[in-house]
Amino acid sequence: MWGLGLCGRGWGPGAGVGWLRAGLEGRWACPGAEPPLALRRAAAAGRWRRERGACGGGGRPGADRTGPAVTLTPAWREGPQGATHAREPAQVPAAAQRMSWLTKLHPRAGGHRAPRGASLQSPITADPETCLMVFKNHWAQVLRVLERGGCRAAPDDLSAVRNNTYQMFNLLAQDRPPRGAEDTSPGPILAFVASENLLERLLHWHLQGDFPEERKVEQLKLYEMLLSQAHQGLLGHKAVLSPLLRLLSLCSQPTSASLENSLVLLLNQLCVNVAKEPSILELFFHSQADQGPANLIIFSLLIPFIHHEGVLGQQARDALLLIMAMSAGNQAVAKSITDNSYFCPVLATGLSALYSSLPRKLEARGDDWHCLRREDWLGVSSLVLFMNSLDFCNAVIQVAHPLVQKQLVDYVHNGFLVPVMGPALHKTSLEELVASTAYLELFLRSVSEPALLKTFLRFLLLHRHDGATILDTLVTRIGSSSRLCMVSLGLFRTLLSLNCEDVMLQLVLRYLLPCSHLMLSQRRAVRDLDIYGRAAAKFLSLTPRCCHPPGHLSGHPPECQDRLAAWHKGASSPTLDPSSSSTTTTSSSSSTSSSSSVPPAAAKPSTPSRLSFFSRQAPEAAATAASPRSPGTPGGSPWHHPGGHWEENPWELEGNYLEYLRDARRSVERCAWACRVWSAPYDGEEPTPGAHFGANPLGATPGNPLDPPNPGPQTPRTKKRGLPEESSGQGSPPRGEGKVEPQEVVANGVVTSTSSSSSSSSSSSSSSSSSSSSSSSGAWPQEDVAVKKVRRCPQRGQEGEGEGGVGVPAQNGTPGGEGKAKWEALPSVECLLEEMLAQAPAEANGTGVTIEAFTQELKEIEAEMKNGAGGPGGAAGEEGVPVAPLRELPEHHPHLSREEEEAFASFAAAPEGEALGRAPPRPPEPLAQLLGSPPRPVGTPPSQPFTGPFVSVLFGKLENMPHNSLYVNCLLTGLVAQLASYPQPLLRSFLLNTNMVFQPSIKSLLQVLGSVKAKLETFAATQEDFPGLLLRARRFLVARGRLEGGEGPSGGGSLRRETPGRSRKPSLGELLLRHAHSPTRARQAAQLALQHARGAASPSPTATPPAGTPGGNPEEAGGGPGEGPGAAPRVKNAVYCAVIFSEFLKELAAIAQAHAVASPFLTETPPEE
Amino acid sequence: MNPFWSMSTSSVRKRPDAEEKTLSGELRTSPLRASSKKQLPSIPKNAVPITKPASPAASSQSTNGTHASYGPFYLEYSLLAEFTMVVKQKLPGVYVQPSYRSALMWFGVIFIRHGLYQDGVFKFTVYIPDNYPDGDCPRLVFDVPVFHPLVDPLSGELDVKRAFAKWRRNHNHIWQVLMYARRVFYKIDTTSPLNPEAAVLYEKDIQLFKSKVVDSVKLCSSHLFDQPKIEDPYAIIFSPWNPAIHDEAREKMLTQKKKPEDQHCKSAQVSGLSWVKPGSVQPFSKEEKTMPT
Repeated sequence: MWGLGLCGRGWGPGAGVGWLRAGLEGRWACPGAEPPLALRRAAAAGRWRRERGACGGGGRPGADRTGPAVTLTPAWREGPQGATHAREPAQVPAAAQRMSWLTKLHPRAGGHRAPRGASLQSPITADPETCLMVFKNHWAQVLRVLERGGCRAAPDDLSAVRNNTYQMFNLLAQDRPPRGAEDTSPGPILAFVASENLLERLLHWHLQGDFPEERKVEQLKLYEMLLSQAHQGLLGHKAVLSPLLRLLSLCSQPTSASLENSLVLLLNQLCVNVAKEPSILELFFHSQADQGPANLIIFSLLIPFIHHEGVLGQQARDALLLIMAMSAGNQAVAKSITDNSYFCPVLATGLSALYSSLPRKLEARGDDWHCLRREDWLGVSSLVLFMNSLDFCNAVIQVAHPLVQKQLVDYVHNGFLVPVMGPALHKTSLEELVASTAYLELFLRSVSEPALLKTFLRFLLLHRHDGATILDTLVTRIGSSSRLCMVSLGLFRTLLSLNCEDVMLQLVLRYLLPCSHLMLSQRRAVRDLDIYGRAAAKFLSLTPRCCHPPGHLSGHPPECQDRLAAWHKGASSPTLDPSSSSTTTTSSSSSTSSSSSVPPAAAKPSTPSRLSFFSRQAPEAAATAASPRSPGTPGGSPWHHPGGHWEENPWELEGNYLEYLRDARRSVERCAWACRVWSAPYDGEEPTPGAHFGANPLGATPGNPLDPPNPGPQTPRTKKRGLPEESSGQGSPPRGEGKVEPQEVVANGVVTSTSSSSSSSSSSSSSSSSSSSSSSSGAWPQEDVAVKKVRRCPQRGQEGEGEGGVGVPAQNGTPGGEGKAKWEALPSVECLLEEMLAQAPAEANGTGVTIEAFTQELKEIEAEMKNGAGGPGGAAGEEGVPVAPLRELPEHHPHLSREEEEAFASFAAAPEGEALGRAPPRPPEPLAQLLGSPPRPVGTPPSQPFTGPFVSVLFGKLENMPHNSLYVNCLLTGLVAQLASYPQPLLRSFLLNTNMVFQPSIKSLLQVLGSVKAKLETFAATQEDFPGLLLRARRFLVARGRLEGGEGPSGGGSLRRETPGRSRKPSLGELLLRHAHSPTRARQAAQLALQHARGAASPSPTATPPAGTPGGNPEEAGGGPGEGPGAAPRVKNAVYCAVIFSEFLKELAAIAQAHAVASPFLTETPPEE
Repeated sequence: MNPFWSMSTSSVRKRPDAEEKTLSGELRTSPLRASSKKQLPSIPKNAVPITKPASPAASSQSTNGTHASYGPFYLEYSLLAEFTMVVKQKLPGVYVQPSYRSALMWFGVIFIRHGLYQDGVFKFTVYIPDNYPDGDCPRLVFDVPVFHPLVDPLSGELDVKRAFAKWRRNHNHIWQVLMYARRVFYKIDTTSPLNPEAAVLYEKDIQLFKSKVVDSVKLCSSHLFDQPKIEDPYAIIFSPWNPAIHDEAREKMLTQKKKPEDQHCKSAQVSGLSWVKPGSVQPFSKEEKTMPT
């Protein structure tokens, strides 16, 4: 029994600590008879909850905790954390990372003790014989005391022993193996020590009397000094090792801080020594039987210190990590760790304890705050503690043996994520949800080891809480209109940036896999690339008329500018009173926060938690406010345009398309490169559309069984055409669709010997013909065949016939095509087939016509929308109206949170026709939907095509863009852009292929954007001074972006990618806070903007409609044009939206273009020659 | 056989990659050129001068419309996409490289590896009409007029039109032109020839035709090391095998193949994550693999 009393020290009076201790004691008490794992877990979780309840008194503990200030700067974190912080291309490779861990440990472990060693080191560099003599002399003196015996040592004796022992240890440390002898042979003094069993006797003497902690400390220090300075391997000698172990076992329940320190220091030193010579490790196992259940006493002693804060904890973790690294190569050690120690449970459940002491609420000042940046959490000591431990978990998993790894990961899942994170993510209070979501995001962002990440993701994707997976619940929260939405968006941004197939599968791809969202005829177009930029043109054409750079704007009356100044001031959400900008950071910021989503009551300037939370930001803000960047002193920094410059080119953003192109290319290629490890290309072909429902296993495509002799690659197209017919029942496509296909094939002239009366035979025929063409083009060296087609293509038809026979033999020569063709169907096949198919419309009156008809219809719809929008005061719900004739738009907004409901209710309460044409009021959703709309069960075919909750909530949010706050829109558009960068044809075609025709119930991105355009145009038409407002909004954003650009690439969790020092105009996408999110910067931006827009100051409602409260009073907000400075959030939101929206269109267009030119080598699976 | 040639063939796979790189490099700079000076260089006598490329909209309309000014981007990207398709196509023995000055002009070379024209190395230039993709089909002109029924004996222009009577966007692509250009040397067509002499000889006196072809191939080879006809940084230049330069380059090409896999292992984070079993659509369906110790 040891090591428990102190394990929690330093954590403060937290509940988790008590629990941990209790838990450990409980377990320690019955080491032989452990309850089954699950039971234990349940007990632990239960206890945790109980204690939380008891101590927390229902929810305040974290927030007000003002524990001792944390002084540690976790140096050892720097390596891994720095690397994991931004999961960016410039990532330290895993191997290098591991190296950094170990190299960091060694020098520090040895190094920082060196000076002390040097001072201790008396100048006894005499010859070995003299040293031995001196040593013996000391020993003789000690021996005299020892032999005197007696229960209580006299003080004189004690000090004599102490002095002599000190000298002896020094001498022993200086001892070297005799020259010329092997390294393993002991030096003279060591030999003497061994022969006399000197250390053992010494210890024995100490043990005779009471052995108070101070003396233990002395002994520990002596040994520590000995180990750190020894010139030979001492631990290999039983004469040294066994007294040392005995001593350690005596220290298993340290009660004083100094003993703890010495103990950990010694253990750390021990680990360093062992790491140098792993063979010693064996000795630890076998040397003593009385070490208790844990064989490895070093280890068991260290475990209680895992979660310790401060230097002590670091040393313990370092030491443990060394052992972990050793365990990687040693099955026995690994086994003893997993079977006989509580390392993993303590580590993992300790996370739970630490989590419980995190602040329950995060009070953010900036409206744009949506995730915890490094600077944010470094100021919160409990969070620092947690992150230290999490990072330690990450590091352990990185270096440890798979056994340990697996156990730890399991414990993290079952001991932390499920019992703690799960409930935390389902709290009832909004603030707590915001906090827990932000924490989760931070954890996901910080974890770098795939195994640990997998656990987190598995938890998110598969764990069900109250019947819904965590992921679905999180998805629904995007729909809320509050801070929770922003935090959730931030979380999904992090999730998407992982490029994880499993995540994407659950979020989007599995809904697209059945292809039921497409018109049947369109399925073959899934993989089409739009090489002429038509999609880009389409997106750009959605730029609202009001956002086109107007020529007339230059002549805008100056007074209007002044008025806009006021508006602008209001618009800059974190506002600064210009008069007191540099001095009153705190007060001004408090005024902002009071007007932002934080309830006013909580916005007192100095709640302790707020202070601690933002203590790192406040000085920064003050400093920057006083810096030359503040408005008073223009010039200076390069990005600062001298006065008047602002006016010069407010439309400078027009020229930035090139930047978008470059960014898009980078992100698309990066994404494609990352996704090459995925299991399938998701091209509408593989996995097979039917695979989703398990009804249509991979091999059972209709073509195959009928066409066994055809060894050639079955082209995607044929499968695509074949399969849908089989599975058409599920998608309930328009009748007749299924019939059209075979006709088309036949009409195409691709007539083989089979009469294509049934769909299956026709598909097989088409498969043979198309595979023949594919093979012939793939097997080009075999000549002749495909070229004929190319040449003849103008005179359509017939070619299939002529080549069917030739092609099949040809493909025998190219077996390589088989695997490859599926992954990356040769474009040749694609194109030739397309040619073939393109001729179909003229001949077969099937699909082609329909496509055209649909395109036509689509155009009409758009036209209608434009017209409808153009009318002043466009009626509410206009987005649904023009569409109605064609399709029945199921108004599904299942993802609205309560807040949005409320906010909306207040909005919709205003009876007057709002200029913005709000959607009709939605009835409150049943609670079940708030909790999460479970996606369609996998097993049942959807009765109606559905693209998944994620897409629908994103689209819903997008559609609502004019009402979203600036920051929500930035995050939102960033997320959609991220989604659009994925190279999977299914996803790409769904989002970016503007020619795609979807099933009527499926809303396309284009439609959504079209409706936003319409809303904006309507708004612009009714808002008298819209151009001026727009100009001002742009200026503000540019100013803000410039500030951020000027800050360099720091910015904590900044996702910014550009290298510093590159001078270029930042694109708006980057300008926007999508990347860096500091409220202080926003304030600076506001100042800059204000510099030129000083004028009537108006109270500054923020851009974000406060959570839960009405998003601005409708009566006020809806005030007619020309009434005061249009400072109402509604107006501001809409104007900002206009800017963001037009930039977003550019971004999408650029992404669409980038897809067309993405290097073909990125998606290729590793070379298989 | 010139060793350099054999080297080229051995590095077939890698080369387009390199070209890709240069192209993307070019892309970065080209829009600047597009705005400042988008002029094609002087063109050999027989080529129709391409006047102003498809960017007239760019300069004139930038003031009155947003998306009107995106024309040049579309053109550049279309051509880049075309080029990407060529790269994907991996046409054996065909290499192209867009010129530095204009994406509308591509330099290329074809290696013929068997058939009548075996050992032929024909340099050519592809001219893409500036109203691409809505214009005529691209023209393909051999630097040295090859003796071939479909190649104009004077200008060296290949009769592309017969294969692409009407250039149709979406259906016709430049790689098809290249494929066609390669194909004419394997399967000889004599109908309505540009070089009647060749056509007649092919029909009537195949032996003489063959010897003429051999002469022509030799002629082309003898001009192989000539300076490129068109001055351009990206023109394809042949030089005799020089171990000092080429050995190293060759080594690089041969070893380059291994690299991606190395990166794959090292930068596990840069790569995405997947625990989906191939063929499955269930997350985390992949079996735990026993980790290497």
